[in-house]
Amino acid sequence: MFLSLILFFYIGILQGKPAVSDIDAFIETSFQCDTKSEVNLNELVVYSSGKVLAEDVAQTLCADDIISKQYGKVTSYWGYKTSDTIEFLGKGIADLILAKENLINAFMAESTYNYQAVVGFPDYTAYLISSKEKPRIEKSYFLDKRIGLLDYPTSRSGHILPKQLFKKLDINLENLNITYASSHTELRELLASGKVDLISSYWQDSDQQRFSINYITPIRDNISGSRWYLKMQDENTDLLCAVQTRLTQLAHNQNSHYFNHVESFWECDLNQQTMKVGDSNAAN
Amino acid sequence: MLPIRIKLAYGAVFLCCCLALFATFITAKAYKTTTNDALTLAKVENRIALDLNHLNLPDDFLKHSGSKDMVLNYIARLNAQLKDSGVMVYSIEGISDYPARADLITKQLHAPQKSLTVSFVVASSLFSKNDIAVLILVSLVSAALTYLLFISERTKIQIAKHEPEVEIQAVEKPKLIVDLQNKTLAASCAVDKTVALANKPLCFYLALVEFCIEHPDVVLNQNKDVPEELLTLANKYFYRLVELGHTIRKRPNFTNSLEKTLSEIRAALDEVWQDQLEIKETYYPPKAHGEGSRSRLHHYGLKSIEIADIEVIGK
Repeated sequence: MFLSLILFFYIGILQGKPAVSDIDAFIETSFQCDTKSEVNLNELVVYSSGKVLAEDVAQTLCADDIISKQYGKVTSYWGYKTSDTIEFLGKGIADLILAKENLINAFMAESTYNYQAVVGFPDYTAYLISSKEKPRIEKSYFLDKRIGLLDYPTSRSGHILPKQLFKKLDINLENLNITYASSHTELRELLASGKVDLISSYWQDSDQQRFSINYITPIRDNISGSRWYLKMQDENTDLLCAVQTRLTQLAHNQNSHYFNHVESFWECDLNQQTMKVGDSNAAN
Repeated sequence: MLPIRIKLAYGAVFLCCCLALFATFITAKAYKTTTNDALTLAKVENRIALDLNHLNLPDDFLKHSGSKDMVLNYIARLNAQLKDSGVMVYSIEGISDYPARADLITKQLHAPQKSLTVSFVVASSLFSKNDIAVLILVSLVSAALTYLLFISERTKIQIAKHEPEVEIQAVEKPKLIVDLQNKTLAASCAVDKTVALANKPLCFYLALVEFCIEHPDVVLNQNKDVPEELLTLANKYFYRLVELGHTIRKRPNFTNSLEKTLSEIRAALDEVWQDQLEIKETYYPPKAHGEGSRSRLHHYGLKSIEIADIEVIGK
């Protein structure tokens, strides 16, 4: 009897729900691919804003012959927070980085690490977008409105410029009803669902479907778009040209009108004379 | 064939075995499950705490709105890893896309700058399909145990038949009950059968008993005077009888006609211990043998009487 009690106690222990084995880290922060020369130990570090873009860029670069000659693998990181961009840019960790001009300037990255703009997206205009009326740039207009802004402070159209506007109109931010969103897409969701009365963002073609182009008011035009910067420690013009070609090609494959109009900053000739396109283009 | 009563008893034994074994099984299983659930929860909490930096949760102080989709995606991927454990992450900071439910286990994780709430669902199914197999096994083992019990009982009965057990009857030795109120003697094994005795022999017998218990070495000889102490005791019992209202007569002289008194006592004892002659010896003042009643060696005292052998009512 006693033995069989022990037997069934053990069966019970065995039948008990097992504990989960160690849970592996599954959050991905980077994508890595091998170039055509796998023996090469050099690694090209790329930093961009999102996972999909990071993977596309890495795969495009891995397929390139010139990059294969110089690097064994391409590791493409994407950021979860504003602070990630600051780390990669401010410490010069990334060889190739997608950044905004204001951040590059803030860290003086061009002079510190010789980050050179390779390709850039067109300048754009920041708008106040409303769903029911055309927003007026007046102090009294904003005071009883629910306003949607972006929560990351590096955004110009969604954070810096509207706040500058409120400052100019002498409106205390405390008196405004501001709702923050983490992306431009979320901002549009907020406006479409009626949770806010107006948002500050850029205008894109697809917005026509949900909002009226008549109900937008520009706050600032000629905001420089994001640019790809390459860290030019050496006079590695082959790499520069290869990266520019590949990124331009990638941009043209996007189905967005805005991203298709990518601007190249270097003239890559077959006779090895790589020149920077006129300064007026690069600094706007 | 076994009688119904025995069959029922074996049935009860079988059921008790089943219950005990299955209860042991379920207790062990519940214990193991509880321990492992706690371990799993700790592991999941650990995972979430490590991933906190990449979680993009809302933060009121930093005016950070967070990304709900990202957190939901995270919960979905975490739960995919926890699929077999019966534990599920229900929500992080209230972000969840599961239908509302009440049986949540909520834990607080405290980071230096913020605290966050994580809710879990722990599937608490104590019984599973496998338990049916265990139940069958339990029945088999219980049946085997019951059969073993049956075999051992039968063997015992057979042995008992072959060599019948010696009945060790620890029946209490009968003793003499003297009732002063009714002036009767009786054996404790037959209380109803009383034998009356006259005042004088009654008092003398009780005194004799008490004297012999106190002085087992003194030889009482009919040729010698009755010892003073014995007389005092006899008188004491006589006064007791007077108190109980049995006599108003003057106290008798116990030294006179000693032989007659002893005869009366013997006659009464003969009647009391009619059926138990071997017990009578203890209480019976010995008769003189052989060389005549006047023998010098004769001792009419009770040699082997003890205080436990006699009970006096109304002393």
